[in-house]
Amino acid sequence: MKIRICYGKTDRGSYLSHLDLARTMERSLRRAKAPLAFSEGFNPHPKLSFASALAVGTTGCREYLDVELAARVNVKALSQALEKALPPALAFVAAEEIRENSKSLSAIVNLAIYRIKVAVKPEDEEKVALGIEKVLAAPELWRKPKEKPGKKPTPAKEVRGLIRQISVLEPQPAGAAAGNGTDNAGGPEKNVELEMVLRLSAEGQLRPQELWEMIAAAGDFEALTPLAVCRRALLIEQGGKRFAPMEGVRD
Amino acid sequence: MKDCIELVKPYLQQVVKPQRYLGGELNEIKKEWDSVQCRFLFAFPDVYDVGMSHLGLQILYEAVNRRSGLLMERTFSPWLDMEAIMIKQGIPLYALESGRPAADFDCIGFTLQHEMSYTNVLQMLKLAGIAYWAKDRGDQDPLIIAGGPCVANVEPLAPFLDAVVVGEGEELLPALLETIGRHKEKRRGAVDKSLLLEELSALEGVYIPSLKGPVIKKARLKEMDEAVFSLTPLVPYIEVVHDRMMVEVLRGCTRGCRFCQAGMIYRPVRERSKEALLAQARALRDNTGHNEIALTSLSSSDHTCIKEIVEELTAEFNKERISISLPSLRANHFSVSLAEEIQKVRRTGFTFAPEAGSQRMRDVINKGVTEEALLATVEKAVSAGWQQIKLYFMIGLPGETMEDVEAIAELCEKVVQAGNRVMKEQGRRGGLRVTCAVSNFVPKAQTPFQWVGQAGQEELKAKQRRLKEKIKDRRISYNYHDAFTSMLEAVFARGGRELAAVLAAAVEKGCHFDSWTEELRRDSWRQAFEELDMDMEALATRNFDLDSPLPWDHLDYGVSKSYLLREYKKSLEAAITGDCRYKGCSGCGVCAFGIDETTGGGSRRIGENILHGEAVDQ
Repeated sequence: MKIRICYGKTDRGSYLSHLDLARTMERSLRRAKAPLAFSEGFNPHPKLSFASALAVGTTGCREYLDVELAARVNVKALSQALEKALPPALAFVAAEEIRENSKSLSAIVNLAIYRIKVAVKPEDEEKVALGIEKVLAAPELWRKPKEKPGKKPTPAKEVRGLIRQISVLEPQPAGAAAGNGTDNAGGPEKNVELEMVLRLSAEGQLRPQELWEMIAAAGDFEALTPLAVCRRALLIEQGGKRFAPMEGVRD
Repeated sequence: MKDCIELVKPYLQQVVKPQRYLGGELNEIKKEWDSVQCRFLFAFPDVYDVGMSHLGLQILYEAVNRRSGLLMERTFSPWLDMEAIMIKQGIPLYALESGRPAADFDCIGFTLQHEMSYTNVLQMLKLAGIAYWAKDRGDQDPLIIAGGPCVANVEPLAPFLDAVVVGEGEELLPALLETIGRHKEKRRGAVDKSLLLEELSALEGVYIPSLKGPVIKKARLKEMDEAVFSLTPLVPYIEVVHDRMMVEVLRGCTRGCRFCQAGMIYRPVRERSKEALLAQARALRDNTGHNEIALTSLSSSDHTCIKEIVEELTAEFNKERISISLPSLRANHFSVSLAEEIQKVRRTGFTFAPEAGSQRMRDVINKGVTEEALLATVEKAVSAGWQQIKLYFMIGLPGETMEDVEAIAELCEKVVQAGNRVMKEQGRRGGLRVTCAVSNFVPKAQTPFQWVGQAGQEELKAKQRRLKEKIKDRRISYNYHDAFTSMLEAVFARGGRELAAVLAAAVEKGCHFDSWTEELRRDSWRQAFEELDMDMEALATRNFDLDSPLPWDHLDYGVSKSYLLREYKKSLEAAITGDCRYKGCSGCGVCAFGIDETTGGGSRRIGENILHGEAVDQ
């Protein structure tokens, strides 16, 4: 039996790496007495498959995971047990049975909606809208190559095709900008929240922080470190329509 | 209230393993600050991932927090990246549960697991903004205490500590904290430190370094089945060093290896019953979700019912793909059958500790294993399917010659050949791989070798080189410990109070995380000793006169000095002493009031172990 679980990554959970998440999920499922199915061999692993890894520091409202079970269970009972078993880092949203031959989540989920909260200097406020406009109008956008010591450099990449939509949400009162890690001397900053709809593809993903930096570069202002980044939803876009990966969970 | 966790959050993207600094794990206990009389901060002088592997932390977390008048929170050494940020931003050392600064607590207790963590103790006090020296702290400061195996000679740290827990802490620590709580209640929350220390000194097992007093007898538990144990241990999100459930099958060991401090200070042997162990294991499984359980102790295969315990546990846990590990196996057939039983889920290498290469040397240290037994065990392990054997040895043992050192290489070669013979007979391809891990002997307080100086640096290095030349076989991989680190360990393991000044000077020069080889600042250490006119190597290698007083004579671990001396003299003749559980009393003195060793089988069912183990073992 296969089940699909929808869960959230809380503020505490945003610091879990993908490996930490997998380990935490396995332990939670064990505590919930889920009859896990295991891989063969001397080092058996439970068969968990996640929709899409979330960058460290980003919270998630509706993340997804498929789990293979070795025996049939009552999904409602397992859901209740799992809700109790999850540690403070994770929150249970829903679970449902899926077909044995369902395509993997990573193969079908192709769209992510992010909210990113950023502080903007008052004089830069209007430049944000301009930056967004320029980014959306650009025929192509190149992500700079990245070099990390000891790792293979990531080559430059064209990413305009990964951006669906960028919008500014209702402005919020300033004041929560304190302690964002950067030494922002000067006037009071204003908090702005952006929503970004980004395509997920096998060839690559664009992180909301990277896009924020591109907007700042296009609008010619300084990109302060985001205060919070949240992935609101993971969706399946097919034939011009958007679906949630689970029937039982809809926005 | 200052919440330091909120203060570090903006910087977490800049450090490795940010989870070290957040708390919020499964089974964390958060008590109301104002609901208790005494707040205790457990301080582990190393990083989170090392400290969270420590079973003692989990036991004390339960023992303290189950008392209504007490709370216990945790703190660990921040790694260097976070430490730099905390210093720059003025964020003090804080507790993971409440985020409160360490200095807010009534009492901070350090666990002393090894000598190389001493500088971290001082560094943590510094990060907390608390004075190093006990005499410089007032009634307002937290009481600084310590416990753990290194208390066996705590003198190098004594001037920094207000009180020390000698022996087993699960009952004594809560009693000590409740005494603090009552003291404060009587004085409307205020502390009169000198009076409080007098009150604490009345507890058996509490040593107050600033008070001159009688010999302190260690605290010890009578019954393992009644001992506090956490059935809901903290479960970290990140992978820690020992990422698994742990049940303590027995405490103490009476094998009598002469170099082994743990074998001396944790006597007598007390077993936990099979029923209690199985019940604990099931509760841990339900409450943690770990996929591995370790049966820990100094020598788990010595439990009189280990076979039944392992069989029942495997039958139940293997179905759920939970593997079982027995970290301390002796080289005998019985161990191989146990290991075969437990390694059905995940198979790792096989590890033995012959400790010395020649039979003479093994007799000197009273390590009761023969070459025949070791090779027979290897053959059995290989025929059961193992392809990797790890062997632990020591060099620089008392009375050791170069021939004894070369015997290590010869023994490893024999192991390879024995293993390959078996594999060939079975028609298996490939060959046996052997790891030869060599450490440098460090003489420790409260052992038969407490009077003996460590081998000098040149001697240790020459012996390491000789082994490297002797081990030519590419199927054997050889690794050895840093000689400088071992020298520092030796200095503090048998040193007196005069070393406190060296520790303080070394920390001021930036020394800490000394057990992390790449962080060890050799030159700073050398300077610290030189400035105080002390010769590091002379301190490490000095011999104590057999009749002169020792810095740790005022701590009584139950094992008498006359027994230690007798054992030392027997070592000079390479005469062995049998395990008192099987071969008659060796007169160590721990059972002064009659045999109070307890077994977990209900009756003393030691016959099986003799059949399966001892017959080949000794």
